[in-house]
Amino acid sequence: MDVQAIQQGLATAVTNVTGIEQALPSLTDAINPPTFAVTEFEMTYNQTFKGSGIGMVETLFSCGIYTSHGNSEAGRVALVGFLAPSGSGSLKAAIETDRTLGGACATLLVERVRGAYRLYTISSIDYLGAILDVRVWSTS
Amino acid sequence: MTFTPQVLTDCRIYFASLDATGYGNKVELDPTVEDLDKTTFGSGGWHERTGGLFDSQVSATVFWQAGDLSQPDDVAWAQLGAGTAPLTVVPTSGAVGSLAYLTQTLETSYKIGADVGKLVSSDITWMGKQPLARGQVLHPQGTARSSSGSGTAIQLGAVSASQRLYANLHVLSVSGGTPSLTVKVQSNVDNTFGAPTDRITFTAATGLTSQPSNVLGAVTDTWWRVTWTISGSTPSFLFAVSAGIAPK
Repeated sequence: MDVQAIQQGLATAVTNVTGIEQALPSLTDAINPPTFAVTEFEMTYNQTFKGSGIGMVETLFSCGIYTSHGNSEAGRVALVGFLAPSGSGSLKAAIETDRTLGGACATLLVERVRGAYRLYTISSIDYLGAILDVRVWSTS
Repeated sequence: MTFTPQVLTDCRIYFASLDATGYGNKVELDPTVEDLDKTTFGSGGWHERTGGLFDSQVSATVFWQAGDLSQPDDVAWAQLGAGTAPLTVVPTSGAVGSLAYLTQTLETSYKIGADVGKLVSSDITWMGKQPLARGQVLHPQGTARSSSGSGTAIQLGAVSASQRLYANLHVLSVSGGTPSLTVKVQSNVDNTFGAPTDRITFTAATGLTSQPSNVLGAVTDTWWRVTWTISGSTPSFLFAVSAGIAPK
C-alpha cells in the first residue's frame, strides 16, 4: 500500500475536471485557485485478517477544494459546481471514474462534503472552499 | 504462567477451496453439548446434569467477492446446503504446527448485503457434521509446491480405538498444465519417519478443491506428517492440511 500513490491518483483523477487550475497530491504553501489538494488522512488497519498480505486497510482522505481568495459569489458558484454529484465539473464523478486510481487502491468512495463555503487559511491567506472525504480501501 | 493476550489479527479461515483469511474480519467457533437433566428426588435439592449430544457451529463475516472457486461468493454459493466441505480455522499464523480447529460442515446460512455506500459483506454459518477436532496445521497455505515432497513431522499423539484422526485438505491455488496433486497423511513412531505408514490418501486434486478425510484408531504412532506427489507441466499448488484427533 502506497499512500502517496493514492494521493497522486486522487490529484490525477481531477486534473481534467472543468475549471480546476491546480490538482495537488498534497497541500503546498502557495496555491493558485481553483485548487484541489489532499490535505490529511486517517487510517484504520485490520479491516480483515492479515493472512499473507496486509489485511484490508481503510483510509479516509480529506481533500480540499479552494475556489477563490476570500469570500466571493464567483467562488461560491464555482464551489457548488465542483461539489455536484455528477457532471463534467464534478470532483466526485471524476474521482469515482476509476475507483482503483490506476491500481493504487482496491476501491474507493467519495463519501461526503464538509465545511462548504468556509474560509480556509493557507499561508495566511483565506480561501473559500470545502472538504471532500474520500474513503479508500487497500488490500495490498 | 504469564498471561499473553492474543489479538486476533492473523486468523486463518479455510473453507473448501476458499482461503477466507484476507476477506474475513470475524469468526466464531461454538462447540456445544446438550444439557440433559437427570435430577431425581435423591439429588439433594440440586439439579444434576449429564452431557448429551455434541454439536458445533462456526460463523464468519466475510467481504463479498466473486470470480472463481477461490473467491468467497463462488464457494459459499456452491456449498450452501451441500454439506461436504471441510472447514479449518487457525487462530494464529497458519504455520506448520499452529493450533487448528477443523471439521466437516453443512453450510446452513449465507447472508449477503450492506447499507448503501458500505462494502458488501456476508455472514456465513456452518454446522458441524462430524466432531470439531482441535489439532494442528500439517501443511501451511502460504508455501507453494511445484514438486513432490514431504512436510514437517508433528507430534499429534496416538489415536485410540475410540477415536479417529480427522484431516482436511484445502487446495487453494493451482497453476500449470494438467497439474495433479496427491496428498497423503502418514504416521510414524518417531519424528525420523524411517518407516512411515500411509494413513490417509486424498483423491488426486487437479483443480481448486477440498477433501475431508479420517482414519479410525487404534494408531499407536504419535508422529504425523503429510507428503505430496505433484505432476504436470510446470505445476504449482498452494494447499493447506490440518489434522486433529477426536472421538469417532
